[in-house]
Amino acid sequence: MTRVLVIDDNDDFRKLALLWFQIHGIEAEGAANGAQGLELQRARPATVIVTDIFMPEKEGIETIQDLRREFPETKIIAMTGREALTDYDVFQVAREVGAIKTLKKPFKLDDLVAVVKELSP
Amino acid sequence: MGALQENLGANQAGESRPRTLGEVLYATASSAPASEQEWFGLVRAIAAGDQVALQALYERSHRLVFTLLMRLTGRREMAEELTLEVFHDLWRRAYRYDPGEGTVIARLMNQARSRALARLRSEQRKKDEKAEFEDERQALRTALDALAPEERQAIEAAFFSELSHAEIALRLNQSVETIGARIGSGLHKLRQALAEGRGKP
Repeated sequence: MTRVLVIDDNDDFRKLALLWFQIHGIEAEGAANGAQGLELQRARPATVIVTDIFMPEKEGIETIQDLRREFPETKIIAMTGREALTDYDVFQVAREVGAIKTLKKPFKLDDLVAVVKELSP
Repeated sequence: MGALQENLGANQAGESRPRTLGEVLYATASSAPASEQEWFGLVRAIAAGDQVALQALYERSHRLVFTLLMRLTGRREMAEELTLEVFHDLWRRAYRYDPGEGTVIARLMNQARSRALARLRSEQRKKDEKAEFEDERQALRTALDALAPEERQAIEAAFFSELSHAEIALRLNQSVETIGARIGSGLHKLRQALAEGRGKP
């Protein structure tokens, strides 16, 4: 059974995404930052994790690294809508530390659901 | 402008040349620190918890900071709030000030500039985020309107108020099973309504 963890400090997006997943029959849970996400993943492991890259407290790249280390089997999708301040390619870094897919906001939530289904065991 | 000309005139007459903008602007104020050493002396006193020193430094420099923030943000309220943040930051982090890293005024101005830019970027980001996923939000609003009131109530409590089924049951004076059933049937109807909205059967 697919279970998704959405980690994003944007409450509006997180709530919308969680509802969208549930509507499509995918169990989903949310966390507002990386630290909370790690705690939830330890308590109730998800098969797919969708995480924002820029967040307060514990930001996405560090979160992906920690998740990859502790949960090597979990598929991680990294996303962001924020323009990089420099030529630094955050998506490439996210892939290097363990994200299997990257998505640039805004995207269609149906596309996110499709990606999660594609990655599900 | 007259004060500035007076200062420049004084220089031509052979008196000491003002070295910082702060020195020019506050040249006539007898209480203004005359040298960077004095500015830094105030910072050191602030680092030791001296509130009078903080007040003195604030009085001598807040207009400069505020003016820069007004110019960057164009909003008085935000400029006032950020000015206080700059001095609050100075109060908390004065012990980190190193005279080798630039003048006190320059440090304050850099702090003000980066705070203003961060605030403006954050506001822009929030605006962009609000505009994102609008198609989905609209489709969802329409689909929610078609639900039975008790289904909608349960779904909104679960997903928008982020309450657990047990919390919703308590709040609505229903059993957890009833809430689970309402959410389940509501989600099923939403799935159908969204699929129909996309032209799928």
